[in-house]
Amino acid sequence: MFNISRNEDNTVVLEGRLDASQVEAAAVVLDALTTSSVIDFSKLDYISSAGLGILLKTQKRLGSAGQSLTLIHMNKMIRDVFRIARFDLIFKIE
Amino acid sequence: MNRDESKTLELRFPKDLRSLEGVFSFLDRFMKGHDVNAEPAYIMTLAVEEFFTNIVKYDSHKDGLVSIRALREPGRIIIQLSDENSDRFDVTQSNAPRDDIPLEQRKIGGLGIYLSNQMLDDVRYEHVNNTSTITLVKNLET
Repeated sequence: MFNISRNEDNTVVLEGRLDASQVEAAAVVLDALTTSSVIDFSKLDYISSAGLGILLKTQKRLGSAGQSLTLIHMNKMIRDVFRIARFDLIFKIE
Repeated sequence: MNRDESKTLELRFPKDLRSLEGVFSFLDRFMKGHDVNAEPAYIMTLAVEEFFTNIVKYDSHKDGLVSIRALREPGRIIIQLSDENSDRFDVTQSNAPRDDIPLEQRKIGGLGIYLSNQMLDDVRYEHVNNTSTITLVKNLET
C-alpha cells in the first residue's frame, strides 16, 4: 500500500511503501511541485532505490530553479538507506 | 509450485513489476512466520526488490518465472532468486555512489544493487544450466 498527498501548506505526505511499482503514483504529485517543499516521511514504512530515484529527479528539477526539498521525520531504517546511498549529502534532512 | 515447509517457503512469480505486491506479501509472511526483526526484514525486502526489479528490467528473456525461495537457518536468513530462462549476467556487481560529481550528474542506476551489497552479509551469483541464481544472506543478531 502506498499513498501520497499534498497538504495546503505545500507539505507532501508519503504513506506506506514506496517501491518500484509505486513510483508513477509518486511522480504525479512530485512532478507538480514548482517551489521548495517539505516531504513528510512520518507515515512511510519503506523506500527502495526506485523511491530514491524519483526524489533525486525532483530535487534536480527544483534545484535548477533555485528551489529544494526538505525531508522530515524519517524512521531509522529509511535514514540508514539515505546515509548508505550518500543521499544525506544531497537532501536537507530534519 | 507452492511449497510451505517449516523453515522454507518458495513461490514463483512472473517477470513483471506487477508481481512486486505478491513478492512483498510472500516476504512479509516469511518474516513474520520466523520472528525476523524489523531491521533485517527491511534489508532483505529491499534487496529482493532490487534484484527482482533488475531481472525484470534487464533480462533479455521476458517470459518465464522467477522462483523465490526463503530459508530460515540458525542465526541467518537466506533468500534465493532463480531465473530459469536467462543468459549469464552477474547483476551483483556495483560501484559506490560518486560524491565527487555534481547533483545534476548523479544517476540512480546501480544504486539498489550497491545498497543491497552494503546491507547484506553475503551476495552470490551463479549460472548453471541456463538458470541464474542470486543468493542473498542476512545474519541475525542473537
